[in-house]
Amino acid sequence: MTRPKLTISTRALVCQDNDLRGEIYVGAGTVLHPQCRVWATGGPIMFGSGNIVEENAVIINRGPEALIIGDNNVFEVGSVMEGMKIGNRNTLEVKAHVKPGTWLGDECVIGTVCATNENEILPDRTVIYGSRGDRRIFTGSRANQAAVHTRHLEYLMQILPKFNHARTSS
Amino acid sequence: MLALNAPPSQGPVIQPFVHYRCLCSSPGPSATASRTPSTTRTATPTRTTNIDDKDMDIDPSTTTTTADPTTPSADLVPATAALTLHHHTHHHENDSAGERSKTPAEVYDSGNNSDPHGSHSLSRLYFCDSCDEIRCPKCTQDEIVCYYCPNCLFDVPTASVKSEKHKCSRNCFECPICQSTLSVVSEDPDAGMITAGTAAQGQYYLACNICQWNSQEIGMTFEKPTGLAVQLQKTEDSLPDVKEFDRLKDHLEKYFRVHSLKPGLPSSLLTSIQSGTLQSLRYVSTSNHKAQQSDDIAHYTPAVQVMEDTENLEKLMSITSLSETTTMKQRLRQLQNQTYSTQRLLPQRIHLRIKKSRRCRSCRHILVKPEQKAQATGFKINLIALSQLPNITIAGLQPMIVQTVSRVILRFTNPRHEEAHVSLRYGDGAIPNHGVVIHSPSFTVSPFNEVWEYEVGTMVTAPGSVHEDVYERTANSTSIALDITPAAAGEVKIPLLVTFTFKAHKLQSDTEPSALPTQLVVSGSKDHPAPEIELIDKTVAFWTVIGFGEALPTFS
Amino acid sequence: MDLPIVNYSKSEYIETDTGNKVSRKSVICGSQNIILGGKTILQTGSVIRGDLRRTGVGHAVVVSVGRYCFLSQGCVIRPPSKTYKGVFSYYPMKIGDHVTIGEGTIVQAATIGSFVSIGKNCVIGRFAIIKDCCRIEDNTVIPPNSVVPSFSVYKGSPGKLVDELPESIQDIFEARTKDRYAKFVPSMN
Repeated sequence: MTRPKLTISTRALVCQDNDLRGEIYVGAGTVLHPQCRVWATGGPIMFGSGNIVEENAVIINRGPEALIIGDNNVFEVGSVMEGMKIGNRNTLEVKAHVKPGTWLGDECVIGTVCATNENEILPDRTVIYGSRGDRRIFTGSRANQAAVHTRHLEYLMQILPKFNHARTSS
Repeated sequence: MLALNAPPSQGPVIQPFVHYRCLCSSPGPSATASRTPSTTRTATPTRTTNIDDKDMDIDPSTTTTTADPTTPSADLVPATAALTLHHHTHHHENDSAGERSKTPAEVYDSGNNSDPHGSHSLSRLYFCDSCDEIRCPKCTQDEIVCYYCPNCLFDVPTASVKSEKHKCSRNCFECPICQSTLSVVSEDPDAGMITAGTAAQGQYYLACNICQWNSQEIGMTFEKPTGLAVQLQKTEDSLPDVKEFDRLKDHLEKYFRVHSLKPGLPSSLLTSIQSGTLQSLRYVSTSNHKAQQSDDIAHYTPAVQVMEDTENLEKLMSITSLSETTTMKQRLRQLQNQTYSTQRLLPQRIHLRIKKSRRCRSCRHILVKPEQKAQATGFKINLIALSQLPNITIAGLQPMIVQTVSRVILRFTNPRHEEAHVSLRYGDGAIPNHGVVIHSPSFTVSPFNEVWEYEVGTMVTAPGSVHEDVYERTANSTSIALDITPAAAGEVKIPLLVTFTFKAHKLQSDTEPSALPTQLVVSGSKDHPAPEIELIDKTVAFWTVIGFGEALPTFS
Repeated sequence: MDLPIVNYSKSEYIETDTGNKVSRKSVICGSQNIILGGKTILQTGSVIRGDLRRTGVGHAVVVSVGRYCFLSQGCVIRPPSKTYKGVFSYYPMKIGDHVTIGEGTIVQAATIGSFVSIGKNCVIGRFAIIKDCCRIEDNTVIPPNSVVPSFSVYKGSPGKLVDELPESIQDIFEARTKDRYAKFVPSMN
């Protein structure tokens, strides 16, 4: 395996003990937990700012184009992102799966163990939930979640370096 | 669940199992009467109907075998073997074709793993130490110990259960969209940190963590994070359908009072409805019949007149996507207001659960009595079969091939603190009659001792019991070998009569031992000198059904 | 049926003084914040996040696991997080004795009682509380903040009560976890 080509913002936190392949750009304030997998086997993967990628999460870009990940997205434990594009403030809950070719808008929530279809475009604020993958459009306010997300990032920036070594740009 | 898994993608695999048979599974009402003639039985009708309930779909010819033991009995237990017992232990015709066998994990610890002819894994059974018989969940009677909310786990006093409509009156709600539990969320993430004086109006709401529904969507917010149920119950009670139901109930209760029937539903009826018996249905139908006969019941006029619902109809006609209307599940969750509009679905208070104690249906002794508090998991009384009867496990198993001898090892583990004697007998009239040779049909099992727990796997030979030709003897278990020659292809299961003798303390409270329904208790000690504490030899016999998986037709 | 004997490679597992068997191929972050009760097995690929500790306080236990627990391959034990009084923090998780956690299951519970069996590929949401004597079937999702009362069997997504466990379940789970520990032995070569 060739060494990954990493471009990491000085204000990002990328832990060691994770599996990074290919060309990856990590924006300010983005946190990659240990044990996550980011494979840019095709085009590069570009993280915006304030994203969180938890352990066992997988982000793969097989296609030739760059996979652009917006800001403040959360990829929870064991989630799989194979999509084409992802906007801002989306949450992939535990074991959620975004299938190849799918576009995610803003503020979508792919629920626990739920999956999208292949090659679909999810409108903003789509919520997929439950055992049958029911969908609804979220209408309430997400100000609360945004505030929690900011504090979550602050916490991780403070605590994670105490227990984990960080990677820098290669 | 390491390595317990069946090989994947092979369809249903017939798994080995050990089931114990409860006597209640087979005898019909007549047998019940003959079996326990001496005990006072207030519960007889309930019990009989319960059995009826189970037996209804079974060929009537099988139930008659009780009276006539010479009738060819079920395929598993021969009539001759059944005769050797004081009470009848015949078995139902089984439907070996349709029976789905369970995975070992299920048989091991689960659920309702009884087969259609009423045998269970040991974990689901009880052993009544006053009748000295196995009891299954069907021949025990449940009694409510307490009500509690499964979410906040608070006990609900029995007195207030009815007025709160069997739902939690604290802060527990389920989502109207996906039925998962809602959490109370503050609009302000800093809540609690800032001084209370600045608290805005309606800053709390309910939010679902699964489908992201929140009560702000339907304009429902709360000023305080506590006591939400009271506020919600008010809106519930003011719904027209709820009002109408209460009015109709009042109206009918008046009529019940006139006819000197208890107002409300008599508790006996409630219990019988719970058990779903035929008897209770009959009860309901007779009371309805009475209602038709008497003309003095006043005409009921509904309080709410339902207008012709064209508006609703038009709305429904114009719907283009299923997500715009409520699902059946959502509507059935709110019976008081079965709305078609998702906007009008309300959070529902969570239903209470109960903690139960169990009684033996024949002698009324308590078999299981949990501790009173909802959160406690302990038991004051817990007469589970697992801690009283020898536990049989299949310790070694070879693949079964028709007309070929294969050896299986059965391990008998003694959960008691006294040595036990076990003798086995194959029910050799079963159809198909597999060839079964039991190598040591009579043996002892050493008592259970906590010390052994720390030396698992070490071989212990109990003094004075080496003369038996058993396969293996470890701590409190004895293993024996069986040679099985399957007679036909398909699932191989054999009936085995286990006679189990152990020492027990003589019951002090047992003032009239003759009243014991079944005289399986052999009092006196033959070959053991009487110890200081008064001990008696007790013998218990029961049938087991042991399945060894599927027999293959030939070598392949 | 008896549980079969499971052999492991002696070079893969570390055995502690109290009899815990921990795979070298498991991931343990912040090990100083983790307590294993003894005779607990951590299989290949399991992850315990002891590094996500509570803010403010000094030395703190983040994950405590009881005796005779079995954490199967690829399961993740991760403390739950929330904001409380405006402060975001992760909070400690406690797992009782005789607890089995299936392959690929992700646990972010607040507490798991004793005598609990969780199947494969389950998700136990943040701050969920699973009381003593419960079984969670394979592929079940227990929503965040929910409570599973004792003697329940939960199944589905979101998990619902589907059955009750018999009164004998404590003895059964205890016997099984002890049996499994006894049969988890190094291979002879």
